[in-house]
Amino acid sequence: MGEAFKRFLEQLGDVGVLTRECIRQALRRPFEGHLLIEQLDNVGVRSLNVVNLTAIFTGMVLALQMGQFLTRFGAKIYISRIMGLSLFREMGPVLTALMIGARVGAGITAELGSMKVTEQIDAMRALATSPVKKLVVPRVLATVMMLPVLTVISDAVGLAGGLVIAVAQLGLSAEYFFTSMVQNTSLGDLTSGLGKAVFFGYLISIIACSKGLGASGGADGVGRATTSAVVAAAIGVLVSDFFLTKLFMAIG
Amino acid sequence: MKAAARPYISVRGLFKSFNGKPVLQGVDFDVAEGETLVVLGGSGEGKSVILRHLNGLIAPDRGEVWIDGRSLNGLDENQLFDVRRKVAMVFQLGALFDSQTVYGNISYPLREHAALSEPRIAARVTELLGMVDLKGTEQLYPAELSGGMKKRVALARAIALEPRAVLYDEPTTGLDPIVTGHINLLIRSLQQRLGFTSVVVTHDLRSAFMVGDRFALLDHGRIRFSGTAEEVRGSHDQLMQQFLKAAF
Repeated sequence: MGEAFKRFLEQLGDVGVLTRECIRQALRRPFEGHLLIEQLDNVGVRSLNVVNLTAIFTGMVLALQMGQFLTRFGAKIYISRIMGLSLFREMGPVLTALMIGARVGAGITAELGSMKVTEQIDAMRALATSPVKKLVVPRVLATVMMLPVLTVISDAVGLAGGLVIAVAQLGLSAEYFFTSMVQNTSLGDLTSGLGKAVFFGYLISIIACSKGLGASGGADGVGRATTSAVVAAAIGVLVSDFFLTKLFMAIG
Repeated sequence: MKAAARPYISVRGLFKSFNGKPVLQGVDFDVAEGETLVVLGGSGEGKSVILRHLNGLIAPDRGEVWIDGRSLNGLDENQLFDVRRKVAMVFQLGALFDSQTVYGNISYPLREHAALSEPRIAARVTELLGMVDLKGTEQLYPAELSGGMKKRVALARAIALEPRAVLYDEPTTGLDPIVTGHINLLIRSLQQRLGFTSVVVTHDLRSAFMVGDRFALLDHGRIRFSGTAEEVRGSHDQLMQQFLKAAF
């Protein structure tokens, strides 16, 4: 137990050091715009399918389950407000983050890890360039920028999924579904979710980069690093979600 | 004559341990300007570890490395960039960026440091590929190259910025004897043509004799013997003798 805790603290230290270096390199000229655009495409555009698919089915399941439950109390008219709240505040950002953690986080760790074990990271340093600037900064920036965007899309697609069920199964009108939701959710619900998404984006990408750059021992080592990056990112998202929720509630 | 020249690389009292296991235990040597020093030693003796100290990829636990009269101790990663532009490195398996073509790999240092226009970068890449006998391979990816070709591309990438010194990590390991011979000739001819200082680490004495001016034998974390080819051949050092016997 003591050993595991020590390892956890060490990894926390690695992430802290990498964050500091990442900020330093991000502020240093020249700004590598083309590398950022490449990553925005990889993290954002190419994740759309998986995020949309997750969101639409989650939205539909949520509507089905709640619809059945609320109908028992004659309260099915509340379905869109409950869905709006739960999607904006929790399900949207958390589910998107978990999917991005799996898709993008694993990709980053595997790529950087295999570069590390084949000495490509050292070669970058030996060629007087910074792997943090070339590899970490664009990945972290792209994930931090794209996760809120994907979250908004996921919120919208999730609601659309719920709408389909509400109309087809519960007999509500689409118009009522929307007005009721808009009237009962505030901008704060949406922005608290987006605030979370920004933090999750940082968490996923910095953990993935740190694990990748720390990989050693060939293909086996890259595999282990990738697994542990995905697990650490998922746990990090779920645990920090609790504290962020408390924080945003305190802020109001 | 060469020994009298000012050393371009000086290593003094280098100590390095990994996870409590000592690897280097007081390594000292000098490499004169324009000279090729070969560091010999068995596998796992820490030859690559020495090499990585010479461009600051690894920092020593104790001791000091001087490049062109400047100590590397206390330099941060950005200050080390100045050193690495002058001291290039060829990695054991090439360490080419596998997401980029041969052109992308060789133009990488030029793009980063040379402030050249694209046509001039292209001309320089062609010139470098000519030097390593690989003309026409610009658009190939590292996965499409043989082991020997990878090392030649890595060599072209390393000398792209006209460094003052080149460090070679096991340049012929894993190559067949014919390709090994080619690589050794290439290393020697480039060194003579461009006049840079070289440090080669290898366990292959045959290759060492083809490329080196002077030889140092690493054993248990220290330089056990150093001298010219004649001195190596005439040496009574037991380990040196074993190396000689194994090679010839």
